[in-house]
Amino acid sequence: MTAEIVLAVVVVLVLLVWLVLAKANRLDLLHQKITRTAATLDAQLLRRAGQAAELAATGRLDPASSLVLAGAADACLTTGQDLELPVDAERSLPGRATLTQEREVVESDLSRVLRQALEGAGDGGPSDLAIVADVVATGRRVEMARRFHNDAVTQTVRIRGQAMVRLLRLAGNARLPRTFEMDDTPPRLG
Amino acid sequence: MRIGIVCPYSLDAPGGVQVHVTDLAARLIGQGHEVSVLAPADDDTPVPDFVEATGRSLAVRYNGSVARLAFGPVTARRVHGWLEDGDFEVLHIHEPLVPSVGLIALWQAEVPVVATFHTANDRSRAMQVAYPMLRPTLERITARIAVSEEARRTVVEHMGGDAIVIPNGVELDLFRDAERRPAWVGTPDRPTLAFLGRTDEPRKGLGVLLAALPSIVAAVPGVRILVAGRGDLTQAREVATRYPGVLELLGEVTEVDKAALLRSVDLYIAPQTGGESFGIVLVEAMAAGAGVVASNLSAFRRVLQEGRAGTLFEVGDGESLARAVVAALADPDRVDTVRTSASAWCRQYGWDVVVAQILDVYQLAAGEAEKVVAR
Repeated sequence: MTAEIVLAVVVVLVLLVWLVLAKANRLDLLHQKITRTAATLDAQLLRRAGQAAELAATGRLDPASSLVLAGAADACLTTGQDLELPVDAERSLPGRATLTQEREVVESDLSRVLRQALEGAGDGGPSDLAIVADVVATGRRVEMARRFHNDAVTQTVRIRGQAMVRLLRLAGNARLPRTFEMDDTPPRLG
Repeated sequence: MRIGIVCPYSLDAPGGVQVHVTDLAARLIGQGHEVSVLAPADDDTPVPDFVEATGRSLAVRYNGSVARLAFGPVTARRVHGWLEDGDFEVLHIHEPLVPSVGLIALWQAEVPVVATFHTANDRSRAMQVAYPMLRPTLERITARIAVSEEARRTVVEHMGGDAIVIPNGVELDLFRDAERRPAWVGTPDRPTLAFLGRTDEPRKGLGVLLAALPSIVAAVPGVRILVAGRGDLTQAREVATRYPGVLELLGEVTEVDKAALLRSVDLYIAPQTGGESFGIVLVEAMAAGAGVVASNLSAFRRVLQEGRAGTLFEVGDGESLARAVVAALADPDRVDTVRTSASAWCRQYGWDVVVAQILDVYQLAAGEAEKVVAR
Protein backbone atom coordinates (compact mmCIF):
# COMPACT_ATOMS: atom_id res chain seq x y z
CA MET A 1 0.00 0.00 0.00
CA THR A 2 2.68 2.49 1.05
CA ALA A 3 4.80 1.43 -1.91
CA GLU A 4 1.96 2.29 -4.21
CA ILE A 5 1.60 5.74 -2.64
CA VAL A 6 5.32 6.38 -2.95
CA LEU A 7 5.19 5.28 -6.57
CA ALA A 8 2.25 7.54 -7.29
CA VAL A 9 3.99 10.51 -5.67
CA VAL A 10 7.16 9.82 -7.64
CA VAL A 11 5.18 9.58 -10.87
CA VAL A 12 3.42 12.88 -10.16
CA LEU A 13 6.70 14.56 -9.26
CA VAL A 14 8.41 13.30 -12.39
CA LEU A 15 5.46 14.48 -14.42
CA LEU A 16 5.61 17.90 -12.79
CA VAL A 17 9.33 18.27 -13.34
CA TRP A 18 8.86 17.18 -16.94
CA LEU A 19 6.09 19.74 -17.37
CA VAL A 20 8.22 22.52 -15.96
CA LEU A 21 11.20 21.59 -18.04
CA ALA A 22 9.08 21.39 -21.16
CA LYS A 23 7.66 24.83 -20.45
CA ALA A 24 11.12 26.27 -19.78
CA ASN A 25 12.39 24.75 -22.99
CA ARG A 26 9.48 26.16 -24.98
CA LEU A 27 10.10 29.58 -23.53
CA ASP A 28 13.77 29.35 -24.36
CA LEU A 29 12.98 28.44 -27.95
CA LEU A 30 10.54 31.33 -28.18
CA HIS A 31 13.17 33.72 -26.86
CA GLN A 32 15.59 32.45 -29.45
CA LYS A 33 12.94 32.93 -32.09
CA ILE A 34 12.43 36.53 -31.01
CA THR A 35 16.15 37.11 -31.29
CA ARG A 36 15.99 35.90 -34.86
CA THR A 37 12.80 37.74 -35.84
CA ALA A 38 14.16 40.95 -34.28
CA ALA A 39 17.39 40.59 -36.22
CA THR A 40 15.47 39.99 -39.44
CA LEU A 41 13.21 42.98 -38.92
CA ASP A 42 16.18 45.12 -37.96
CA ALA A 43 18.06 44.08 -41.09
CA GLN A 44 15.09 44.86 -43.34
CA LEU A 45 14.56 48.24 -41.69
CA LEU A 46 18.20 49.17 -42.12
CA ARG A 47 18.12 47.97 -45.69
CA ARG A 48 15.04 50.06 -46.42
CA ALA A 49 16.65 53.16 -44.86
CA GLY A 50 19.81 52.60 -46.91
CA GLN A 51 17.80 52.29 -50.11
CA ALA A 52 15.77 55.38 -49.20
CA ALA A 53 19.00 57.34 -48.76
CA GLU A 54 20.19 56.05 -52.12
CA LEU A 55 16.90 57.09 -53.73
CA ALA A 56 17.21 60.56 -52.20
CA ALA A 57 20.66 60.90 -53.73
CA THR A 58 19.59 60.01 -57.28
CA GLY A 59 18.41 63.54 -58.01
CA ARG A 60 15.35 62.15 -59.80
CA LEU A 61 12.90 63.22 -57.11
CA ASP A 62 11.96 66.86 -56.65
CA PRO A 63 14.50 68.56 -54.39
CA ALA A 64 12.08 68.92 -51.47
CA SER A 65 11.31 65.20 -51.50
CA SER A 66 15.02 64.41 -51.77
CA LEU A 67 15.84 66.55 -48.79
CA VAL A 68 13.06 65.26 -46.53
CA LEU A 69 13.78 61.68 -47.57
CA ALA A 70 17.50 62.07 -46.91
CA GLY A 71 16.70 63.40 -43.44
CA ALA A 72 14.20 60.64 -42.64
CA ALA A 73 16.58 57.92 -43.86
CA ASP A 74 19.44 59.39 -41.88
CA ALA A 75 17.32 59.40 -38.72
CA CYS A 76 16.54 55.70 -39.24
CA LEU A 77 20.17 54.80 -39.76
CA THR A 78 21.37 56.63 -36.67
CA THR A 79 18.62 56.03 -34.09
CA GLY A 80 18.89 53.40 -31.34
CA GLN A 81 22.19 51.89 -32.29
CA ASP A 82 23.55 51.12 -28.84
CA LEU A 83 20.84 49.41 -26.80
CA GLU A 84 20.61 45.71 -25.96
CA LEU A 85 18.29 43.35 -27.72
CA PRO A 86 14.95 42.73 -26.02
CA VAL A 87 16.06 39.23 -24.98
CA ASP A 88 19.05 37.94 -22.93
CA ALA A 89 21.96 40.28 -22.92
CA GLU A 90 24.31 37.31 -23.44
CA ARG A 91 22.63 36.32 -26.64
CA SER A 92 22.53 39.77 -28.16
CA LEU A 93 24.94 40.66 -30.86
CA PRO A 94 27.02 43.60 -29.69
CA GLY A 95 26.50 46.96 -31.40
CA ARG A 96 23.30 45.94 -33.15
CA ALA A 97 20.54 48.40 -33.69
CA THR A 98 17.52 47.43 -31.66
CA LEU A 99 13.81 47.89 -31.87
CA THR A 100 13.27 50.75 -29.49
CA GLN A 101 10.24 53.01 -29.28
CA GLU A 102 12.40 55.80 -30.67
CA ARG A 103 12.90 53.71 -33.76
CA GLU A 104 9.19 53.10 -34.16
CA VAL A 105 8.81 56.86 -34.54
CA VAL A 106 11.57 57.43 -37.11
CA GLU A 107 10.67 54.33 -39.14
CA SER A 108 7.01 55.40 -39.26
CA ASP A 109 8.17 58.82 -40.41
CA LEU A 110 10.18 57.21 -43.19
CA SER A 111 7.10 55.25 -44.35
CA ARG A 112 5.02 58.43 -44.47
CA VAL A 113 7.72 60.38 -46.28
CA LEU A 114 8.20 57.60 -48.84
CA ARG A 115 4.49 57.60 -49.59
CA GLN A 116 4.33 61.37 -49.99
CA ALA A 117 7.48 61.43 -52.15
CA LEU A 118 6.48 58.59 -54.48
CA GLU A 119 2.71 58.30 -54.73
CA GLY A 120 1.01 59.90 -57.71
CA ALA A 121 4.15 60.27 -59.83
CA GLY A 122 2.50 58.90 -62.99
CA ASP A 123 4.33 57.83 -66.14
CA GLY A 124 7.88 58.92 -66.76
CA GLY A 125 8.28 59.80 -63.08
CA PRO A 126 10.77 58.32 -60.67
CA SER A 127 8.66 55.16 -60.31
CA ASP A 128 10.53 53.75 -63.30
CA LEU A 129 13.77 53.73 -61.29
CA ALA A 130 15.09 50.37 -60.11
CA ILE A 131 15.85 51.81 -56.68
CA VAL A 132 12.18 52.77 -56.26
CA ALA A 133 11.13 49.18 -56.95
CA ASP A 134 13.79 48.05 -54.45
CA VAL A 135 12.69 50.35 -51.67
CA VAL A 136 9.03 49.40 -52.17
CA ALA A 137 9.92 45.69 -52.17
CA THR A 138 11.96 46.08 -49.00
CA GLY A 139 9.03 47.96 -47.50
CA ARG A 140 6.84 44.91 -48.08
CA ARG A 141 9.49 42.72 -46.46
CA VAL A 142 9.49 45.08 -43.49
CA GLU A 143 5.74 44.62 -43.23
CA MET A 144 6.12 40.83 -43.18
CA ALA A 145 9.14 40.71 -40.89
CA ARG A 146 7.34 42.96 -38.43
CA ARG A 147 4.28 40.70 -38.41
CA PHE A 148 6.44 37.60 -37.77
CA HIS A 149 8.30 39.37 -35.00
CA ASN A 150 5.16 40.66 -33.32
CA ASP A 151 3.58 37.18 -33.52
CA ALA A 152 6.59 35.70 -31.74
CA VAL A 153 6.48 38.43 -29.14
CA THR A 154 2.77 37.95 -28.51
CA GLN A 155 3.19 34.19 -28.04
CA THR A 156 6.06 34.72 -25.63
CA VAL A 157 4.26 37.36 -23.63
CA ARG A 158 1.26 35.05 -23.26
CA ILE A 159 3.37 32.20 -21.89
CA ARG A 160 5.28 34.47 -19.59
CA GLY A 161 2.01 35.63 -18.13
CA GLN A 162 1.20 32.10 -16.90
CA ALA A 163 1.28 31.59 -13.14
CA MET A 164 3.78 28.70 -13.19
CA VAL A 165 6.21 30.59 -15.40
CA ARG A 166 6.09 33.62 -13.13
CA LEU A 167 6.21 31.59 -9.90
CA LEU A 168 9.23 29.50 -10.92
CA ARG A 169 10.83 32.42 -12.76
CA LEU A 170 11.26 30.26 -15.82
CA ALA A 171 12.09 33.28 -17.95
CA GLY A 172 15.16 33.99 -15.85
CA ASN A 173 16.43 37.53 -16.34
CA ALA A 174 15.21 37.92 -19.89
CA ARG A 175 13.28 41.15 -20.15
CA LEU A 176 9.70 41.06 -21.34
CA PRO A 177 9.75 41.45 -25.13
CA ARG A 178 7.80 44.25 -26.76
CA THR A 179 5.97 44.33 -30.07
CA PHE A 180 7.28 46.78 -32.65
CA GLU A 181 4.54 49.21 -33.61
CA MET A 182 4.98 51.36 -36.69
CA ASP A 183 3.30 52.69 -39.80
CA ASP A 184 4.72 50.28 -42.40
CA THR A 185 2.32 50.81 -45.31
CA PRO A 186 4.49 50.93 -48.44
CA PRO A 187 3.82 53.51 -51.20
CA ARG A 188 1.24 52.63 -53.82
CA LEU A 189 2.78 53.17 -57.24
CA GLY A 190 1.05 53.47 -60.57
CA MET B 1 4.20 93.85 -61.28
CA ARG B 2 2.97 90.27 -61.43
CA ILE B 3 4.46 88.73 -58.34
CA GLY B 4 4.36 85.11 -57.15
CA ILE B 5 5.16 84.51 -53.49
CA VAL B 6 5.82 81.05 -52.07
CA CYS B 7 5.48 80.10 -48.41
CA PRO B 8 6.92 76.68 -47.51
CA TYR B 9 5.02 76.21 -44.25
CA SER B 10 1.41 75.14 -44.14
CA LEU B 11 -1.17 77.83 -43.42
CA ASP B 12 -2.96 75.23 -41.26
CA ALA B 13 -0.63 76.18 -38.42
CA PRO B 14 0.18 79.73 -37.33
CA GLY B 15 3.76 80.91 -37.68
CA GLY B 16 5.95 83.92 -38.29
CA VAL B 17 6.76 83.14 -41.92
CA GLN B 18 3.11 82.52 -42.77
CA VAL B 19 2.05 85.82 -41.19
CA HIS B 20 4.84 87.73 -42.92
CA VAL B 21 3.97 86.28 -46.33
CA THR B 22 0.24 87.00 -46.13
CA ASP B 23 0.83 90.52 -44.75
CA LEU B 24 3.37 91.28 -47.48
CA ALA B 25 1.02 90.01 -50.19
CA ALA B 26 -1.90 92.05 -48.85
CA ARG B 27 0.22 95.22 -48.80
CA LEU B 28 1.60 94.66 -52.31
CA ILE B 29 -1.94 94.14 -53.58
CA GLY B 30 -2.92 97.35 -51.77
CA GLN B 31 -0.30 99.14 -53.85
CA GLY B 32 -1.80 97.82 -57.08
CA HIS B 33 0.42 94.82 -57.78
CA GLU B 34 -0.89 91.47 -58.98
CA VAL B 35 0.08 88.95 -56.33
CA SER B 36 -0.55 85.25 -55.86
CA VAL B 37 0.69 83.31 -52.85
CA LEU B 38 1.41 79.60 -53.08
CA ALA B 39 1.35 77.72 -49.78
CA PRO B 40 0.44 74.32 -48.41
CA ALA B 41 -2.99 74.37 -46.74
CA ASP B 42 -5.74 71.85 -46.27
CA ASP B 43 -8.80 72.32 -48.42
CA ASP B 44 -10.91 73.27 -45.40
CA THR B 45 -8.47 75.82 -43.97
CA PRO B 46 -9.81 79.33 -44.63
CA VAL B 47 -7.23 81.29 -46.65
CA PRO B 48 -7.27 84.77 -48.25
CA ASP B 49 -8.38 85.02 -51.92
CA PHE B 50 -4.86 85.56 -53.17
CA VAL B 51 -3.63 82.24 -51.74
CA GLU B 52 -3.36 79.13 -53.92
CA ALA B 53 -3.33 76.09 -51.64
CA THR B 54 -1.21 73.10 -52.65
CA GLY B 55 -3.22 70.66 -50.62
CA ARG B 56 -1.90 67.91 -48.44
CA SER B 57 1.13 68.54 -46.34
CA LEU B 58 2.91 66.16 -44.03
CA ALA B 59 4.07 66.89 -40.49
CA VAL B 60 7.78 66.19 -40.76
CA ARG B 61 10.59 66.43 -38.27
CA TYR B 62 13.03 68.71 -39.97
CA ASN B 63 15.97 70.55 -38.49
CA GLY B 64 14.96 69.80 -34.92
CA SER B 65 11.32 70.78 -35.07
CA VAL B 66 8.11 69.51 -36.63
CA ALA B 67 6.74 71.44 -39.59
CA ARG B 68 3.92 70.78 -42.01
CA LEU B 69 5.58 70.58 -45.42
CA ALA B 70 4.34 69.71 -48.90
CA PHE B 71 6.46 67.74 -51.35
CA GLY B 72 6.20 64.82 -53.74
CA PRO B 73 4.94 64.46 -57.32
CA VAL B 74 1.38 65.60 -56.62
CA THR B 75 2.64 68.82 -55.05
CA ALA B 76 5.22 69.31 -57.81
CA ARG B 77 2.47 69.23 -60.43
CA ARG B 78 0.41 71.81 -58.57
CA VAL B 79 3.43 74.09 -58.26
CA HIS B 80 4.05 73.75 -61.98
CA GLY B 81 0.45 74.65 -62.78
CA TRP B 82 0.60 77.70 -60.52
CA LEU B 83 3.80 78.95 -62.18
CA GLU B 84 2.27 78.48 -65.65
CA ASP B 85 -0.99 80.23 -64.79
CA GLY B 86 0.68 83.06 -62.90
CA ASP B 87 3.18 84.05 -65.62
CA PHE B 88 5.03 86.04 -62.96
CA GLU B 89 7.61 88.74 -63.58
CA VAL B 90 9.30 87.88 -60.33
CA LEU B 91 9.04 84.96 -57.94
CA HIS B 92 9.62 85.55 -54.23
CA ILE B 93 10.42 82.34 -52.37
CA HIS B 94 10.56 82.28 -48.58
CA GLU B 95 12.88 79.87 -46.80
CA PRO B 96 14.08 78.18 -50.00
CA LEU B 97 16.12 75.65 -48.00
CA VAL B 98 13.02 74.21 -46.35
CA PRO B 99 12.05 71.10 -48.29
CA SER B 100 8.58 72.15 -49.35
CA VAL B 101 6.80 74.04 -52.15
CA GLY B 102 9.43 76.82 -52.11
CA LEU B 103 12.27 74.53 -53.06
CA ILE B 104 10.08 72.87 -55.70
CA ALA B 105 9.08 76.25 -57.18
CA LEU B 106 12.73 77.27 -57.28
CA TRP B 107 13.58 74.03 -59.06
CA GLN B 108 10.95 74.74 -61.71
CA ALA B 109 11.35 78.52 -61.94
CA GLU B 110 12.08 80.15 -65.26
CA VAL B 111 11.71 83.75 -64.04
CA PRO B 112 13.92 85.86 -61.75
CA VAL B 113 13.77 84.62 -58.17
CA VAL B 114 14.08 86.62 -54.96
CA ALA B 115 14.61 84.46 -51.89
CA THR B 116 14.12 85.43 -48.25
CA PHE B 117 15.89 83.59 -45.45
CA HIS B 118 14.11 83.82 -42.11
CA THR B 119 15.88 81.53 -39.70
CA ALA B 120 19.30 81.32 -38.22
CA ASN B 121 19.91 77.59 -38.16
CA ASP B 122 22.61 75.04 -37.91
CA ARG B 123 22.97 73.08 -41.08
CA SER B 124 21.10 69.81 -40.78
CA ARG B 125 22.75 66.50 -41.60
CA ALA B 126 20.28 65.93 -44.43
CA MET B 127 21.23 69.32 -45.84
CA GLN B 128 24.93 68.50 -45.66
CA VAL B 129 24.35 65.28 -47.58
CA ALA B 130 22.00 66.80 -50.13
CA TYR B 131 23.68 70.18 -50.61
CA PRO B 132 25.80 69.34 -53.67
CA MET B 133 22.65 68.08 -55.34
CA LEU B 134 20.75 71.26 -54.43
CA ARG B 135 23.43 73.65 -55.55
CA PRO B 136 22.26 74.00 -59.18
CA THR B 137 18.74 74.67 -57.93
CA LEU B 138 19.90 77.26 -55.41
CA GLU B 139 21.95 79.01 -58.07
CA ARG B 140 18.69 80.10 -59.71
CA ILE B 141 18.19 82.65 -56.94
CA THR B 142 18.86 86.16 -58.29
CA ALA B 143 18.62 88.16 -55.07
CA ARG B 144 18.88 87.00 -51.50
CA ILE B 145 17.20 88.73 -48.57
CA ALA B 146 17.82 87.88 -44.93
CA VAL B 147 15.38 89.11 -42.30
CA SER B 148 18.11 89.67 -39.72
CA GLU B 149 21.87 89.76 -39.29
CA GLU B 150 21.65 86.28 -37.74
CA ALA B 151 19.81 84.91 -40.74
CA ARG B 152 22.30 86.65 -43.01
CA ARG B 153 25.21 85.03 -41.22
CA THR B 154 23.55 81.64 -41.72
CA VAL B 155 23.25 82.31 -45.44
CA VAL B 156 26.88 83.36 -45.67
CA GLU B 157 28.14 80.36 -43.70
CA HIS B 158 25.98 77.72 -45.33
CA MET B 159 25.76 78.87 -48.90
CA GLY B 160 28.55 81.35 -49.43
CA GLY B 161 27.82 84.69 -51.04
CA ASP B 162 25.83 87.35 -49.26
CA ALA B 163 22.33 88.61 -48.61
CA ILE B 164 20.68 91.98 -48.10
CA VAL B 165 19.11 92.47 -44.67
CA ILE B 166 15.47 93.57 -44.79
CA PRO B 167 13.63 92.94 -41.53
CA ASN B 168 10.16 91.47 -41.31
CA GLY B 169 7.49 94.14 -41.41
CA VAL B 170 5.68 94.97 -38.20
CA GLU B 171 2.16 96.39 -37.97
CA LEU B 172 3.37 99.38 -35.98
CA ASP B 173 -0.01 101.16 -36.15
CA LEU B 174 -1.81 98.21 -34.60
CA PHE B 175 0.44 98.54 -31.56
CA ARG B 176 0.81 102.32 -31.50
CA ASP B 177 -2.95 102.87 -31.63
CA ALA B 178 -4.06 99.96 -29.44
CA GLU B 179 -6.57 100.70 -26.65
CA ARG B 180 -5.16 100.55 -23.14
CA ARG B 181 -6.86 97.91 -20.95
CA PRO B 182 -7.41 99.44 -17.47
CA ALA B 183 -6.93 96.05 -15.78
CA TRP B 184 -3.44 95.82 -17.23
CA VAL B 185 -2.28 99.42 -16.75
CA GLY B 186 0.33 99.76 -14.02
CA THR B 187 0.28 102.30 -11.22
CA PRO B 188 3.29 103.59 -9.24
CA ASP B 189 2.39 101.17 -6.41
CA ARG B 190 1.41 98.31 -8.64
CA PRO B 191 3.57 98.41 -11.80
CA THR B 192 2.83 95.79 -14.46
CA LEU B 193 5.25 93.58 -16.39
CA ALA B 194 4.32 91.41 -19.38
CA PHE B 195 5.69 88.12 -20.65
CA LEU B 196 4.61 86.80 -24.06
CA GLY B 197 5.34 83.42 -25.56
CA ARG B 198 4.92 79.70 -25.13
CA THR B 199 5.11 78.94 -21.44
CA ASP B 200 6.54 75.44 -21.82
CA GLU B 201 9.18 76.22 -24.42
CA PRO B 202 12.38 76.64 -22.38
CA ARG B 203 13.97 78.93 -24.98
CA LYS B 204 11.19 81.45 -24.49
CA GLY B 205 12.58 81.93 -21.00
CA LEU B 206 9.57 81.94 -18.66
CA GLY B 207 11.78 79.94 -16.29
CA VAL B 208 14.26 82.81 -16.17
CA LEU B 209 11.49 85.25 -15.28
CA LEU B 210 10.17 82.92 -12.56
CA ALA B 211 13.69 82.64 -11.17
CA ALA B 212 13.92 86.44 -11.03
CA LEU B 213 10.51 86.79 -9.40
CA PRO B 214 11.52 86.49 -5.70
CA SER B 215 14.12 89.27 -6.01
CA ILE B 216 11.71 91.50 -7.95
CA VAL B 217 8.95 90.99 -5.35
CA ALA B 218 11.41 91.69 -2.54
CA ALA B 219 12.25 95.10 -4.05
CA VAL B 220 8.82 95.95 -5.50
CA PRO B 221 6.18 94.13 -3.40
CA GLY B 222 3.25 95.49 -5.46
CA VAL B 223 4.54 94.24 -8.82
CA ARG B 224 2.13 92.40 -11.15
CA ILE B 225 3.47 90.06 -13.79
CA LEU B 226 1.09 89.21 -16.65
CA VAL B 227 1.94 85.99 -18.49
CA ALA B 228 0.35 85.55 -21.92
CA GLY B 229 0.90 82.51 -24.12
CA ARG B 230 -0.20 78.95 -24.55
CA GLY B 231 1.47 75.93 -23.07
CA ASP B 232 1.82 74.04 -19.82
CA LEU B 233 1.51 76.24 -16.73
CA THR B 234 2.30 73.78 -13.92
CA GLN B 235 5.49 75.52 -12.85
CA ALA B 236 3.97 78.99 -13.17
CA ARG B 237 0.92 77.97 -11.10
CA GLU B 238 3.17 76.73 -8.30
CA VAL B 239 4.96 80.05 -8.22
CA ALA B 240 1.63 81.89 -8.47
CA THR B 241 0.32 80.21 -5.32
CA ARG B 242 3.52 81.05 -3.46
CA TYR B 243 3.28 84.73 -4.46
CA PRO B 244 -0.45 85.52 -4.50
CA GLY B 245 -1.41 88.60 -6.48
CA VAL B 246 1.90 88.79 -8.34
CA LEU B 247 1.61 86.34 -11.21
CA GLU B 248 -1.45 86.55 -13.46
CA LEU B 249 -1.77 83.83 -16.08
CA LEU B 250 -3.72 85.05 -19.09
CA GLY B 251 -3.33 81.97 -21.29
CA GLU B 252 -3.32 82.36 -25.06
CA VAL B 253 -4.26 85.88 -26.21
CA THR B 254 -5.43 87.27 -29.56
CA GLU B 255 -3.38 89.69 -31.62
CA VAL B 256 -5.64 92.54 -30.41
CA ASP B 257 -5.21 91.53 -26.77
CA LYS B 258 -1.48 91.29 -27.30
CA ALA B 259 -1.38 94.84 -28.65
CA ALA B 260 -3.54 96.07 -25.75
CA LEU B 261 -1.30 94.27 -23.28
CA LEU B 262 1.90 95.78 -24.65
CA ARG B 263 0.19 99.18 -24.78
CA SER B 264 -0.90 98.93 -21.13
CA VAL B 265 2.06 97.52 -19.22
CA ASP B 266 5.06 99.40 -17.87
CA LEU B 267 7.65 96.90 -18.99
CA TYR B 268 7.75 94.07 -21.49
CA ILE B 269 10.16 91.32 -20.44
CA ALA B 270 11.91 89.26 -23.14
CA PRO B 271 13.87 86.57 -21.26
CA GLN B 272 14.45 84.31 -24.29
CA THR B 273 17.58 82.23 -24.01
CA GLY B 274 18.25 81.60 -27.70
CA GLY B 275 16.84 80.64 -31.06
CA GLU B 276 15.68 84.18 -31.82
CA SER B 277 16.80 85.57 -35.12
CA PHE B 278 14.98 88.88 -34.98
CA GLY B 279 12.74 89.69 -32.02
CA ILE B 280 9.57 91.00 -33.63
CA VAL B 281 7.77 91.23 -30.26
CA LEU B 282 10.42 93.66 -29.07
CA VAL B 283 9.60 95.97 -31.95
CA GLU B 284 5.90 95.59 -31.22
CA ALA B 285 6.51 96.44 -27.58
CA MET B 286 8.55 99.49 -28.56
CA ALA B 287 5.80 100.63 -30.92
CA ALA B 288 3.21 100.15 -28.18
CA GLY B 289 5.31 102.22 -25.81
CA ALA B 290 6.22 99.55 -23.27
CA GLY B 291 9.71 99.72 -21.81
CA VAL B 292 11.66 96.69 -22.99
CA VAL B 293 13.87 94.55 -20.75
CA ALA B 294 15.47 91.82 -22.85
CA SER B 295 18.17 89.15 -22.71
CA ASN B 296 21.44 90.18 -24.19
CA LEU B 297 21.07 88.02 -27.32
CA SER B 298 22.78 89.45 -30.38
CA ALA B 299 19.44 89.72 -32.22
CA PHE B 300 17.84 91.60 -29.33
CA ARG B 301 20.89 93.81 -28.86
CA ARG B 302 20.55 94.93 -32.46
CA VAL B 303 16.79 95.53 -32.29
CA LEU B 304 17.29 97.52 -29.09
CA GLN B 305 20.01 99.64 -30.72
CA GLU B 306 22.75 98.22 -28.46
CA GLY B 307 20.65 98.99 -25.38
CA ARG B 308 19.70 102.57 -26.24
CA ALA B 309 16.10 101.55 -26.99
CA GLY B 310 15.74 99.22 -24.02
CA THR B 311 17.50 97.48 -21.13
CA LEU B 312 19.58 94.34 -21.62
CA PHE B 313 20.43 91.67 -19.03
CA GLU B 314 22.60 88.54 -18.99
CA VAL B 315 21.02 85.69 -20.97
CA GLY B 316 19.41 83.10 -18.68
CA ASP B 317 20.41 84.95 -15.48
CA GLY B 318 17.40 85.52 -13.20
CA GLU B 319 19.30 87.80 -10.81
CA SER B 320 20.52 89.98 -13.65
CA LEU B 321 16.94 90.22 -14.95
CA ALA B 322 15.67 91.14 -11.47
CA ARG B 323 18.28 93.93 -11.16
CA ALA B 324 17.35 95.30 -14.59
CA VAL B 325 13.62 95.30 -13.80
CA VAL B 326 14.05 96.87 -10.35
CA ALA B 327 16.35 99.57 -11.78
CA ALA B 328 13.90 100.35 -14.58
CA LEU B 329 10.93 100.57 -12.20
CA ALA B 330 12.91 102.82 -9.85
CA ASP B 331 13.78 105.32 -12.59
CA PRO B 332 10.64 106.16 -14.62
CA ASP B 333 12.26 109.26 -16.15
CA ARG B 334 14.98 107.25 -17.79
CA VAL B 335 12.43 104.69 -19.00
CA ASP B 336 10.47 107.56 -20.57
CA THR B 337 13.52 108.86 -22.40
CA VAL B 338 14.37 105.39 -23.66
CA ARG B 339 10.73 104.87 -24.68
CA THR B 340 10.71 108.05 -26.76
CA SER B 341 13.87 107.11 -28.61
CA ALA B 342 12.57 103.56 -29.02
CA SER B 343 9.36 104.63 -30.72
CA ALA B 344 11.36 106.63 -33.26
CA TRP B 345 13.91 103.85 -33.73
CA CYS B 346 11.31 101.16 -34.38
CA ARG B 347 9.82 103.03 -37.36
CA GLN B 348 12.38 101.38 -39.67
CA TYR B 349 10.69 98.04 -38.96
CA GLY B 350 7.28 99.29 -40.10
CA TRP B 351 5.66 97.71 -43.14
CA ASP B 352 5.77 100.88 -45.28
CA VAL B 353 9.55 100.99 -45.13
CA VAL B 354 9.88 97.23 -45.55
CA VAL B 355 7.56 96.94 -48.57
CA ALA B 356 9.37 99.76 -50.37
CA GLN B 357 12.70 97.97 -49.83
CA ILE B 358 11.36 94.63 -51.03
CA LEU B 359 9.86 96.21 -54.17
CA ASP B 360 13.26 97.72 -54.92
CA VAL B 361 14.75 94.24 -54.81
CA TYR B 362 12.00 92.88 -57.09
CA GLN B 363 12.64 95.58 -59.65
CA LEU B 364 16.40 95.06 -59.57
CA ALA B 365 16.01 91.31 -59.93
CA ALA B 366 13.52 91.58 -62.80
CA GLY B 367 15.55 94.29 -64.55
CA GLU B 368 18.74 92.32 -64.28
CA ALA B 369 17.10 89.36 -65.98
CA GLU B 370 15.84 91.56 -68.82
CA LYS B 371 19.39 92.68 -69.46
CA VAL B 372 20.57 89.09 -69.61
CA VAL B 373 17.88 88.21 -72.12
CA ALA B 374 18.69 91.27 -74.27
CA ARG B 375 22.34 90.32 -74.46
